[in-house]
Order: sequence, then structure tokens, then C-alpha cells
Amino acid sequence: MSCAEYTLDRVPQGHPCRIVRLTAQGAVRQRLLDMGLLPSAQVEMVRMAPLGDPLELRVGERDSFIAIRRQEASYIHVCLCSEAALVTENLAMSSASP
Amino acid sequence: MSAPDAPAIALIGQPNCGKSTLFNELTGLSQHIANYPGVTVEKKTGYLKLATQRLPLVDLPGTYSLTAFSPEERVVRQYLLNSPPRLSVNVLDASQLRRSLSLTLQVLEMGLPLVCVLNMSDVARRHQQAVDARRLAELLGVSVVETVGRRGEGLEQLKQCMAHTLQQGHTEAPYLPDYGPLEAAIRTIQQALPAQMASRWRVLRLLEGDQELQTQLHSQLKEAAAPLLAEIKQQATAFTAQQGISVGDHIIIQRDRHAREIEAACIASARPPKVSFSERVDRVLLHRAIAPVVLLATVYLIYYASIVQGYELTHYTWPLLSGIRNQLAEWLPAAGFLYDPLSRSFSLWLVDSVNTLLNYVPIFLILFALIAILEDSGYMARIAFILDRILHRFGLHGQSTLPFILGGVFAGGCAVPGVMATRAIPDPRARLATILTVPYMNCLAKVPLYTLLISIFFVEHKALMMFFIATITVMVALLVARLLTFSILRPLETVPFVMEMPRYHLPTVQGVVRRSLERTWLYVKKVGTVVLAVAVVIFVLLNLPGLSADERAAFEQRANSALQTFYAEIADNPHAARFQDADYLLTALNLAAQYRARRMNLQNAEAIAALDQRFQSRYPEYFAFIRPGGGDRDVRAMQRSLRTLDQERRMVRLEMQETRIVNSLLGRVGRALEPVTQAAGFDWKINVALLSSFAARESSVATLGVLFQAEEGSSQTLEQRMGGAMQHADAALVALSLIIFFALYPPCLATAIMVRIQTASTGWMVFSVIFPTVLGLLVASAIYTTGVHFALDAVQMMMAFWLLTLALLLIIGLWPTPRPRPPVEPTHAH
Ligand SMILES: Nc1nc2c(ncn2[C@@H]2O[C@H](COP(=O)(O)OP(=O)(O)OP(=O)(O)O)[C@@H](O)[C@H]2O)c(=O)[nH]1
Ligand SMILES: [Mg+2]
Repeated sequence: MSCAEYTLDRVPQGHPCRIVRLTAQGAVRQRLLDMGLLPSAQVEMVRMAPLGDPLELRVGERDSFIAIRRQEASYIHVCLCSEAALVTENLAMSSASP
Repeated sequence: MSAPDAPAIALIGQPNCGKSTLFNELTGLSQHIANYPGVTVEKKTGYLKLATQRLPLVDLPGTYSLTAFSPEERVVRQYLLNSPPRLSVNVLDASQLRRSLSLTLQVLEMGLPLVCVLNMSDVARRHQQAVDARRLAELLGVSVVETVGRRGEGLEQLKQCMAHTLQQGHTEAPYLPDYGPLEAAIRTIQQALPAQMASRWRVLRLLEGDQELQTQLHSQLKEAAAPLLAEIKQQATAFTAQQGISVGDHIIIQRDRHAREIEAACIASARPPKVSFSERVDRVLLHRAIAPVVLLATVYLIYYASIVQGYELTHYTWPLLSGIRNQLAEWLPAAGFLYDPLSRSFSLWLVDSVNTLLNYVPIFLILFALIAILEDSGYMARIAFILDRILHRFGLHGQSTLPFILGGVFAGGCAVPGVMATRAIPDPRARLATILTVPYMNCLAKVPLYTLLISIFFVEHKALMMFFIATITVMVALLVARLLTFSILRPLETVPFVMEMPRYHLPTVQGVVRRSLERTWLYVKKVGTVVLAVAVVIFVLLNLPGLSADERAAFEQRANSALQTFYAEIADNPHAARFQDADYLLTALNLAAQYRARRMNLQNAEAIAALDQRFQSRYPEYFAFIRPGGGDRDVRAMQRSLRTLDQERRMVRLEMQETRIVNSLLGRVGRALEPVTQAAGFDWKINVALLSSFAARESSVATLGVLFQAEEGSSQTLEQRMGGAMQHADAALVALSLIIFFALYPPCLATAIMVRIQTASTGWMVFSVIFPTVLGLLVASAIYTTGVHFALDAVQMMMAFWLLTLALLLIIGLWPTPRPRPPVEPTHAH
């Protein structure tokens, strides 16, 4: 199965995604893994802070909420759970740009 | 049996799962608890009674895993490796079972004896996700006890279970994760390692390439280590080549799969979890439009309840404190005509120093209670979430908010608890930046000097000036933080901002009260030790070397002539006879001063009548002369003469005091500094006040009081005296530059010591004192010099400085920083 891959900081609010891989290394990577952000885990951005950063994520099926800066979110590569959500225009554009 | 270094029982678990809560209940101690992750940072030991034994119990920081990336992980790991506990108690958050289990599995792989505690079982049940503890015990092969730490439920079972496991010894866990294709490699290495080093956990870590364990292997096996490490490396590379995944990722994924299987088997509920209460609350409280309003309201509420209402309370407590002082003044050896016994002046100095600080206790009790509520409820973590964007911009961290609030963002706090609270900041660089900027906040002790200067020089602009001061300190702190993080703090390690959002809890009354009392007590202890010690030093520095023989003779001469005038005046007064006795005269003068001091604390007629009553019955032969008014013509004449004598006496004493300070060691230092501080408009008196305020900021006002001629029982306020003394044209500018300098002034001694403790470095402590002094002096000089040069008045100058700072802040805050691109652009993958 193939899917369009995005970094998590670009996925709009309220779209459940599945993690494909992490591009972070070292301490950042370990921290993300420890918080349950591992490949194949389900994740959804539930809200942004009033100033747009950090983001709040729901991780896994049970209620586990994590705040994370956009910087760190950009290391998380995800696929959208429902491809239908892809219509969002800016998403399509950002994935097309080099 | 319970020697101090006997192997202990250790509490381990993820952050915020309730370890410290259980620790406190098991040991009866009071370790700090709060509803956000990362509260406990160092290990703490207490004693636990199990049946007849008294065993050491260690509370460890919360950690998600046992790699060595973060300081907490290192603390826990080193502890488990170097002094293996005889029993580990693994606290699991029942509502986060899967994630909690990852640590459990690692500890089991270490082969350590273990008991599991399913804490927060109330939350899991409330979410209809109750965990089947018996099933969990079967699947893990260790005992499992359900508890509700907050209510102390399940503690007895836990103790029994611990005692039982200690007796039985531990059984190997029957159900550890299976690492599939890696198992062959694991077996090979396990056989190659010496038996005492061959735990499954160590092998896995070595395969992952753990630096620390490699070094350890080198130091223990010497030359045998190299081939072994080569073998390990080869196995890992081969695995990655074959499976297309790194060993580390494979391990963590398999472990998580195992944890998920256990979770699925232990949580019976078929229903998907419903949206939790916390999430529903956050939909409102963290809504982008509502969040800032709620935050501002919260901050204002804290300010109003603690500072405004707290000050109201001090109106009731201050008479108590000054009553104690007056009582003491009466008990101490009486004042002489010119010279007071040392025991008197010294004791009163100490009591005054302590009283100014104790006066703030009501404010602190309220402030700390409110902050405890914020922490316990879970809202503090939300504040960090809301503000991180701004704070991060300036090199700080979302969790710098609490230290700043404690330090006194809105005029009124204390840097000591502020600096202490930086422990919760996970990022070392942001943490140090916070430690170094918290002292810029307006601690309660700065307020008296502000109020004093404002009420002398800026009467018409009171509110405006207070606003400027409160905001400018925050702005300067942000700018300084930015400056530091981009210069000397740059090389420091930073960690990612990945913070768990704790669930909302209802704070417990007992928890809040306890925390408030504890933190206040800490503050009082600081008064009791550091401030008292420094007060002694300053007293000495202000009083040595004292008056020269010539000066003494001159003052005595004046005193004698005043006495002669007095006796000449009363020569034909019928009451004159008793005043011939020098003792009687002195007692009358002192009692009059005492009466005035007591009278000043009283407002209503009844209390005054009671005071009169008391003095009348206690000092019948003096009373007529010390209470102003009343009596026949002769008595009133005598009162007048006494008053003239008293005024002359006070004049002489004051001049003596001033001469003493001018000559004193501190006075000399103050004068020596005058050439430097002239640029800021500070004369030697202000220098002396600033020097002495390093002991405790409060003493600046006290010292100014002395320097601007405080008199025993004087009715003229310090405002009037200073206003009178500083009447030169640019006095307001001097006041402004003094205010600014004081706002930027280095931390007081107690804070400096706390900085030393928190940074574990004398270098940073010295820096924390020197940097703000230089900065403050530069800024104050710039303001004073510019003001004088362009003939601007102080309010204009303040406005200009404020706008300049704001502009700088906005430029830095809004300047677009290029966000480092993610290493890989979105691509299409399989
Ligand atoms: N509902 C509920 N809350 C609990 C329970 N046990 C502890 N708490 C609360 O959970 C929060 C965290 O407790 P702590 O004891 O500080 O947690 P900790 O594991 O020591 O946290 P760190 O020191 O940060 O690792 C506090 O607000 C406690 O009051 C429990 O069984 N049920
Ligand atoms: Mg703790």
C-alpha cells in the first residue's frame, strides 16, 4: 500500500494519521519514541497553542496527550488515515513542492 | 539490618505517575508533588517500616526509559546499575498502561526483583478502562498491587506484597518480549559475556550501541573487551543489513508490541474509551481565542488574591510584629542619654531586619497556596503550553512560567522559590537562562523602595510608574535571556520540547496547605539564617570604627550644654527636685519615646485610653510628664522643657549616627564608589544603601532610613525626610535611575546561594551577581546622563526607556527566524 507522506507539522488539525518513520536522531528520537510516537502508531493533532506553536497531539487509541513544538513535529513523517482528507489544497501543494 | 548504605527499595516509574505521592505515604516524609511531569529531579531517601524492619526507600525521578539521553534517565540508570536495589517498586499509571509497561519490561530485562503498582486505578476505572491486576501479574510474572496514591488506598496490600517478595526472593519473569530475528544475536552475545554482566537488558543496549556500557566493558574486561565489542558491532550491522531496520528501532517496536498485547489482555472493556474529561475541558480552556483570556484572568486573580489581599492582611499582622519589637525595646537595657548599650542597638537592628521580612508571610501563604492549586490541577502545564512560543523565542521554555510567577512577574514574589522551581525545566540551556533571569522579577522586597521613591518623586504618576516598573522588568528579563542564550549559554545542551499534558485533577486541600506552608517555611528559614547573618555583618560594617575621641568630646559637650539649659529653665518649677536625679530624667525621656512609639500603632480612642491606663498604673510618678497635654501649669511647663531637651538630644544623637556612618567601613566603600556611580547620579548614601541591600533587599529602605536620619520614635516619615534631603533639581532623575538600577540589581544573597545550589557551580553564582550589577549600572548611568544632558524630566525619560525596550523586544520577538528545514521533504513512500 502506498500513501502520501507528510511531516506532522503540516497536517491540519483533526486528521488522524499513522506514523511512517522518524527522521530525528539521538535524544530527540529517543524522546519521541518514549512518548509512544513510534512507527505505525496513530497520531492526531488536536490543537495548536494560541500562537500557533506548540501543537497538542493525541497519541494512540487511548487518551494520551502530548505537547510538542513544530520543530520536533517536523521530524515525524505520517500518512493520513483516510486519503479522502487529501483534498485540502495547501496539503497537496506542499507535498508537490520540491 | 538497616545500615544507611544497605541496598534500598527503589520507586521507579514514568514521570507524573504518582511515585512521590506513594513515597510520602510510605515514609511519612513530604517530597514535592505536582501534577506535571519531571517534578522530582534528584533521588531522595526515606525510611519505610515493613513488619519489624526499617528499610531505606528511594524516590527516583520519573523516566520513560533507561537510555542515557536525559539527566533523569542517567540518574535512574546509574542508580539501578551501580547500587542495585534489593527490590524495585515499579509504579505504573493504570490509565496509560501500554506506555508505562515499556519501562517495566526494561527493568524486568535487567533481571531486577520487582513489584508492580497499578497507581491511578481510580482514573482508569472512571474511563471504564479498568485494568485486570491478576491477569497483569500472570503475564508479567511479578506481583501487582492496585493503589490510589492520592487517597492512600492499597498501601497495606503494597506493604504486604513488598515484604512477601523480599522474603521469597524473585522469580524470573516468564513472559518477556520476543525480539524475533534478533534473538540469535542476543543469545550469542549473552554467552560471550561474563555471567554477572549478561543481563538481557545489557545485551540489548550493547547491540543498540550504548556508549556508556561499552566504556564500562572496556574498563572491566580490559583487552578481552575489544573482540567482544567488535562481535557485537558486527551482529548489529548484520541485523540492520538483513532486516532493513536499526536494532534500536526494532527493539522499541517489539517491546511496544508486547506491551500492547499485555494491555489488550488486561483491559476487558470492549467499548472504545470515551472522550476524557480533561480533553473536554481543554476544548474550552485551550481554545485559541479563549486561552489568552483565561490565562490573563488567572494571572490577575493570583495577583489580586495574594498581593492586593495579602497586603490587606499585613495591616493586621504588622502591629503584631512591631508590638513584639516595642516589647523587646522595653525589656532591653534602657537607652543612655547619648550612647545606647550595644546589646540594645544590636538586638533592635536584628529584630528590625527580621520583621521587615516576616511582614510578607501572609502574602506568601496565599501566593504559594494558589500556585500549589495551579500545579496540582494540571493548569500549570497548560500555561507552559500557551506561553512556550513567546518564551522559546527568547531562549526560555514554556515551563519557565512558574519560576517567573514565583519570582514576582506582577510585583510581589521571591526569587528564592523562583530559582528553586526551575528544577522542572527539562532543557538545560533554557533552565540556566531562567535561573539567571528570575532575579530580575520584582520580588516583594524591591517593592518598598519603589513605593518609597514613587511616593516622594512621582506622586502624580503613581499608577503609571508602577506599570512601567512591572512591565519593564519582564521585558528586560526576556532580552537578557535572549542575549545570554545567544552568547555564553550557546554551547549548552538543549532537549526537545515534548511534554506530556497531565490530566486535570482536583487539588486536595491538605496537599495545597502543606505545600504553601512548606514553601513559606523555606522563606522564613532564609530570614532566620542568611539574612540574620548578613545583618550582623552590615551592622558591624556600619558601626566600625566608630567615633574618634575628639568627636566624642564635642558631642558630649553639646549634650552637657543642653542639660544645663534644661536645668536653668526648670530651676523654679516645683517639680524640679525629682529631675535633679539623672536617672529619673533619662527614664522620663525614654518612657516618653516609648509612649510615642506605642501610640503610633493605635487608631481608636479606646485603645489609646487603655494605653494611658497601662502607663499610668505602671509609671505613676512619670505619667504626668510623658503624656502630652493635661496637668496643671507647672506640669505643662515641665513637659515643654522636657520636649526641648528631647529634641536637642535627638539632634545630637542623629549627627553622631551620621558621623559614625560616614566614618564606617561601609561608608568609606560607598564614598570610594562615588566616582563610578556618579554617572548614575548615586551619592555615597545611596551606595551604602545598595550595598547593604545585597543582604536582603528590604534593608535598602532601612539603611536609607538611617542615612536620612531616622530618629527613635520620630513622627516624620522617611518620605518627608528623603524628600527634604534630596531637593536638588535632578533628584527625580536620580530616583528614576535608582529605581531602574534596583530593578536590574543582582539577586540578594539568599538567591545567589540558591543559584549556587541549583547550578552546582560557583562560577554561575558569581556571574549571576556581577552581570546584573554591570548591566544595571550601565543602564542607570545612561538614563541619568541622557536625562541631565537633554534636560528631560524623569517621567519622560522613563517613557523613552520603556518604549525603547519594547521596540527591542518586538524586533527580536517578531523577526522571522528561518526554521531549519526538516531533514527530508515529504515524499511518496511505500
Ligand atoms: N487520580 C489520582 N491522582 C493521583 C494518584 N496518585 C497521585 N496522583 C496525583 O498525580 C500527580 C503526580 O504525582 P507525583 O507523586 O508528583 O508524581 P511523580 O511520579 O513523583 O512525578 P515526577 O516526580 O514528575 O516523576 C499529583 O497531582 C498527585 O496528586 C492516584 O492514584 N489517582
Ligand atoms: Mg516525584
